Amino acid sequence: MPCRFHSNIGKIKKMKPRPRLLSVSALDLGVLTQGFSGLTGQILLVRELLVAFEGNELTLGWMIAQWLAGEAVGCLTAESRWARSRNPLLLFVATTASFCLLLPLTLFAARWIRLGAGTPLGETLSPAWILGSSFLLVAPLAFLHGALFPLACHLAQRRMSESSLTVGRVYVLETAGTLLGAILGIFFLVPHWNAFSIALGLAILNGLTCLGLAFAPHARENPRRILSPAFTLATLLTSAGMLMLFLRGDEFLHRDSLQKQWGNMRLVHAQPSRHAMVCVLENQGHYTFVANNQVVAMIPIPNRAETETLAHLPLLLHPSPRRLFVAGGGWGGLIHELLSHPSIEHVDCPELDSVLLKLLTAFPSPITTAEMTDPRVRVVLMDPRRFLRLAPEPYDVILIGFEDPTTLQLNRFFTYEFFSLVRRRLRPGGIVALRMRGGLSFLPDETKDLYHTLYHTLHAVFPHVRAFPGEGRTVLLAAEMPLPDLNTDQILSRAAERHLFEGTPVPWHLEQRLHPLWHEWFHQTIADRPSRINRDFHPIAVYHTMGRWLAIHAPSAAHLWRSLNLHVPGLRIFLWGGMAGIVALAFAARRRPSAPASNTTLRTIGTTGAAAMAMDLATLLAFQSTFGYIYGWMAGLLAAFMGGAASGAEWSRRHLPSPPNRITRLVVLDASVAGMVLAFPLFLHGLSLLAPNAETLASLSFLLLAFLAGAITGAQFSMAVAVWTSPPLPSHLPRSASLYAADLFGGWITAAAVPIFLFPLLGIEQTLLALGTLKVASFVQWNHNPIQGKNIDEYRNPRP
Amino acid sequence: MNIATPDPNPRGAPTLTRRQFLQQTGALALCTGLGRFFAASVSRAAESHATPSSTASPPTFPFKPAYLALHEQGILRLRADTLWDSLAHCQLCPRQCGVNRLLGKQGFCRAPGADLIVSSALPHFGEERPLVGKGGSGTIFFSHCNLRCVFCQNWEISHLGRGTRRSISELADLMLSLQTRGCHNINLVTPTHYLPHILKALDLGVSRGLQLPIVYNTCGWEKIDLLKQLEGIVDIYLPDFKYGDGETAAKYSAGARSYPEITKAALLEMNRQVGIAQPHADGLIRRGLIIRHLIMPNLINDSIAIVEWIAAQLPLDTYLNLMSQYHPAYKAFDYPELSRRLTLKEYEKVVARARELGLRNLDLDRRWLTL
Repeated sequence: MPCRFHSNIGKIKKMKPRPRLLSVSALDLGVLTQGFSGLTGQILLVRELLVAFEGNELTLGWMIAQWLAGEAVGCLTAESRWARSRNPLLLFVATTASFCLLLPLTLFAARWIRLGAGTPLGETLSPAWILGSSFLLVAPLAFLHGALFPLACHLAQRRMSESSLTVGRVYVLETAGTLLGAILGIFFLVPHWNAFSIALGLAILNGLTCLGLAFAPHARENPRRILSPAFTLATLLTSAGMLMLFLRGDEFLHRDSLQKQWGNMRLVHAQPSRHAMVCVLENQGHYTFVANNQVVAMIPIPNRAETETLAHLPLLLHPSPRRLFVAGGGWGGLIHELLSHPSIEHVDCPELDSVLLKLLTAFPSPITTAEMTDPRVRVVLMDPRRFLRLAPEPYDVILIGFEDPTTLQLNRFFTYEFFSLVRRRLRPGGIVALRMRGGLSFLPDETKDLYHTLYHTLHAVFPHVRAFPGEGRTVLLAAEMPLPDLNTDQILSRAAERHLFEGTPVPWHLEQRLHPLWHEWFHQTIADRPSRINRDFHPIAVYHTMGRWLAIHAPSAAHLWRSLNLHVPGLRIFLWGGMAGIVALAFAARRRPSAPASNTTLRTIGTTGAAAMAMDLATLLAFQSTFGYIYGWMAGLLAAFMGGAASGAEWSRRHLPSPPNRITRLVVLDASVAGMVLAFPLFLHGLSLLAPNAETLASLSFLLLAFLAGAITGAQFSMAVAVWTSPPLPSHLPRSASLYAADLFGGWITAAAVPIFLFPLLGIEQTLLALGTLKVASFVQWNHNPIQGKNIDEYRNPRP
Repeated sequence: MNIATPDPNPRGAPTLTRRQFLQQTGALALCTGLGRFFAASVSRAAESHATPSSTASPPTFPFKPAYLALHEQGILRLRADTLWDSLAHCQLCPRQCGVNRLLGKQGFCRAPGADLIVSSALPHFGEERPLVGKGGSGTIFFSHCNLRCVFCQNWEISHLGRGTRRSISELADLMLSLQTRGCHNINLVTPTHYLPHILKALDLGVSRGLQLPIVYNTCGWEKIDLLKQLEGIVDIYLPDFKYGDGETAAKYSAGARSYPEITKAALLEMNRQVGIAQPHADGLIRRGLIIRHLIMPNLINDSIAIVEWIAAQLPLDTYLNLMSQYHPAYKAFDYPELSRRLTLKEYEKVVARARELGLRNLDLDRRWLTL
């Protein structure tokens, strides 16, 4: 939940009118810039952390939770301590300057995390590093930004007589700045500027607006002094930013931090795309292409064992392959091997990331050049899943070259939905091939779980599945027709007929995979694992890959992780039983006339905070599962939610009913939140079905959905604050700060637990339904003493 | 450590193993017509010791592994006990930590005291062709490692020690289950620091019917006195020969500067024990020395030094697998010289030198060479 908006609605009471001192337009610009800077800074930092965390979207919840907490603490601290300052302008400028200084430092530190942790390329950071680094980097920045809001409100109150209008205006302006940050961020800033350039630009912008604030005659504490401390500080900030920009300090910081990220490896190019930060490392003429710290290609020498196995196994088992489709991982060897089969007429290679393609062209090798220029190969800039759906002709073999489903973006190519699509796009007798990471020297339970899940999901779509284990990667082939049970000699004979390996021996790493006992061993290995189907909105495969990561870095946590997986039915019973119990308690609470209404409201707001965060995260994760490019759209989705929350809050504020009806409005909004959460899975599924045929409309609809989710929850919070702050309350009833804390707590708990555990284990739908049930319980508990021992009816129709 | 070869018959009285007793009793029973009752009791006795994986009737084995004789003489057990006792001051490998593993102390290899950690046991079909055959190589991977190379592809088990705790009896059962599945040998990967456990399990396994040759799949950095304990036990030595230069070894393998010198001596000893690896009529190798060398980028001179030494000191028919499949793994990206794959030119150079030197029994990536 965007706490800073809500916290300050509650602070309306504390602000008293003061004489007009400041220029209206300068402060308006200042607040606009503050909102713009906040979202832009947040997005820049979250993007850098996502890169450090290898693009694992499930860590978004943690980062958002840290931001929430930081903003809240900053907001409360500024309100309770700094508001008494005799020079709020200086404080505002100083806090702004601190924010602008801290932003590039945190960006630099974010790029240093992996080096500091000693985590080699291709391996994942430990949970301790992820949690600790995201807290240390996100929270302080969020703290400073959160502090700016009450300071801005105090500055604003000096010019307007009505404090509520002051705060409301600040809300609107900051929201506008936030939305502006989102739009400019997605379409202009991030695609064309590096993070440090943007950070320096923000410093200059903030410096100029602070100058405007400080220079206004009425702003000076002592009108006879031209240079106030605030003015001096603002000047320093602006000058420093301009000087850095003039000296190309942004470029230096960008390159230096990127190079530091790679330690001893030589970075020759780095460029953000919509989907990842793509880096190219050079070593004696060999190039490694890395996207979000995951190796996507190494040229000029491919991993021949892997590429030859993935290419030749399915093609040799197919009687006459002509049309092929390659989803990911094709460049630098795989496509080259596919093209060696003389029967191949056409290979479709859709590529999601245009930057990756551009860099493969900029740093070519003989193999990649041959692949890209072969007339049989068609390269298309499109999401492979979308392309497959729209492809006009079916295929003989479909190869999924992506590696393990370590992120939701990759998981999209290992789900029941995708495999069903593959089946529809295969010709009769067609084969699909994919590979899974895992050596033979050690197969922990987590790896077996992943193997079983992917095998089981494939088998749920294709009646015939066969495994070809080996060192490094296991290949799975699946088909509607029985896969030919060719022995080694027959396969080799077929290879000879096709003039493959002519004059050269069949490589042992390919031949040994054909051993008939491998598949039997594979079956026995995964036999005792629980069966799950991996789905777009139930990414259990991602859960297993995270379990594998935990088993390395946090074995005791991995034990709990495995236990949860083994007892999912029990977890479901526990969760639903718990929800049913809570609903029952809520009904019971209705019968107690003396129950304090303050607790009811706190529970309501707490559960709304949890529900709001769940909807926000579900939107982000569903978007990623549907489209695969959350990296570029994160700003927009977060801003849409926050904008919705602010708009809803503002709407509530402007359309306050009379006091007797406020409780009713609060309860109605609570029911609306419950309904929204319960219906949310339907909306998400609807959009995922719409997406393949109307991508732009669907992606904009995601924005709208995020906005609506924010709006309804923001409206409720605002109403709750209004109920408790107007008319005045007895001191024992909760202040807005308590409501704010309840909201924050609910959101924080959800952000920490839901994306990591509940979404992957139970799926997005079940998780939202469970939280929706919680909201129903919160709604059900209403019917008793809202204020001062009176029930709703009495409150609505007070007796004389 | 001394080789344990005590007089099995100090008082001149005849000794009888359990196998011999059963055989003689069975023969007597058959002669007296009580064979059917004897067979029933023997099968009941077998079932009480059998694990689910070892109840199947063992196939016939054309090759009698060397350790059978030592087992019958009781020498295998004696050596196992001697090595086990040496864990009190562990010096199994050249690191010579001297920690008391029997009290749970950990040495450089980080093996958890006297506990045994096994990461995997499976019929492996990807080892060298003469070890795989139709039934596969019964491979048992042991966790932990005394070398700890920065480029290790099995770093989860070698550096982190991941695996499952097993008892000696369970290890014996693993061996037997691999035999039951039709594997042609028992391939012990990174066995050095668990050698006492292995010998104990082997002794137990033999009494339960194990008859497969042992493949000692090691990093090559082995002490001579330990290898002498393996004489008559191991039929196939499968060592790596990683580095020809001590400084290189120290840089990439945690200070193992003595690697080249010790490994060379070890290879000579292994060759003395088992000789040249020659396949039988069925294509399988059941005895001999197979050397693996993984050629690494920017270390070609090192590789050439290795093949030159092999050609000079070992028979030219020595089985040498020149491996080309290096790829950066684990912490290899911290070393720019190791952060890329091997080029064809580098591979060709080493192969050409090996051929020039007259090495005849080369296992090569022939497809790559002829591309």
